[in-house]
Amino acid sequence: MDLNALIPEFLVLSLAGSSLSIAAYSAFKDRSDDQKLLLIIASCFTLAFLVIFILSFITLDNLTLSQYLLALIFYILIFMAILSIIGFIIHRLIVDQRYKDDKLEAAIDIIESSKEDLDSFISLFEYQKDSE
Amino acid sequence: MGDAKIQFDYKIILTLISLSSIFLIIILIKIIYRHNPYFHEQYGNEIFLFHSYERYKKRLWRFNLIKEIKNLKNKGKISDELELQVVVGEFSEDTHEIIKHAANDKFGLITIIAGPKVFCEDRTEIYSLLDRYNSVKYFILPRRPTKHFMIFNKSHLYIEKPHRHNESRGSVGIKNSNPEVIKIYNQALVKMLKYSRPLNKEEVLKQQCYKD
Repeated sequence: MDLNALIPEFLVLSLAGSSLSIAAYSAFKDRSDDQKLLLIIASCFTLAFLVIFILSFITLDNLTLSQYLLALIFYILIFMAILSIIGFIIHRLIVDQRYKDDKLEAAIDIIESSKEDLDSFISLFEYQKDSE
Repeated sequence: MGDAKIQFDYKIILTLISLSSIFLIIILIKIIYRHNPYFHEQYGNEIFLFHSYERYKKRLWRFNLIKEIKNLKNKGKISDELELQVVVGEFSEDTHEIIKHAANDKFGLITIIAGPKVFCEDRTEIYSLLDRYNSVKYFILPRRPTKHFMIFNKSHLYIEKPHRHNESRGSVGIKNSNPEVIKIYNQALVKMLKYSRPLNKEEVLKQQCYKD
């Protein structure tokens, strides 16, 4: 198999992955922990690109052991990156759900406090009317 | 360089990885962007919390709600006259906007209950509002109400956190509110109406006002 034919696909895959990580990052806005995680993902992609560069120098019809190993490293890195992105998104979904639950609790607090004092506020008018 | 030749079908593997990645991404996007409003059986179907600084968001939510109700009315899903009941500290600029929207969007019965004072610069605006829309009824209480809320067509609620006349606080919007909750606010509104007195447009111009 001609390896040259594969290199563009590898590049496209890596680019798609890096753009996905950037999209995930911008979707959730910056937080220091997220930045660290994104740094790991970005380094995975960078290393994957490095492997691609090495691979591009080797042009053989059939894969040798070294080519096979490099291709394997590339796949592992891509997989790690994709898994990290998915992990990152799941983590953020859990955090967001917790934040949502807190918000709901705060909303319920407002409703309750407003509801509870309604009668006492109206009784104030009654009292005022009586005293007049 | 090693001589061992290894058969490695990249095409199939790459296709499989690409397809599974696309599939996973679609699922994730669906999970992230799914419609998942805050729901609480006791209070209502869709609960929204607004922070005090989200003034624009608060207004937009109410505008959209009015539009939604109007669309339902246009489709014939609501046969009764559309109603809006409002209890506010003072009939201010923010409330004007909501009332104007509602009056333009076929709300036939609009009741405003407010405190005895308004902001001086708002008086002429209230005058023209009452002059323009017959559906708007304005009542004032002898004392500034501390509980502020809006009932949109007997089914949606907007509740504000208690605040002073010169500050803004957080609030909560409830779409398709639980009828029990609506009932409590409706009863309070009826009771408040008993202690309030209607104000016509001429009286508004003489209403007490905050100088600042």
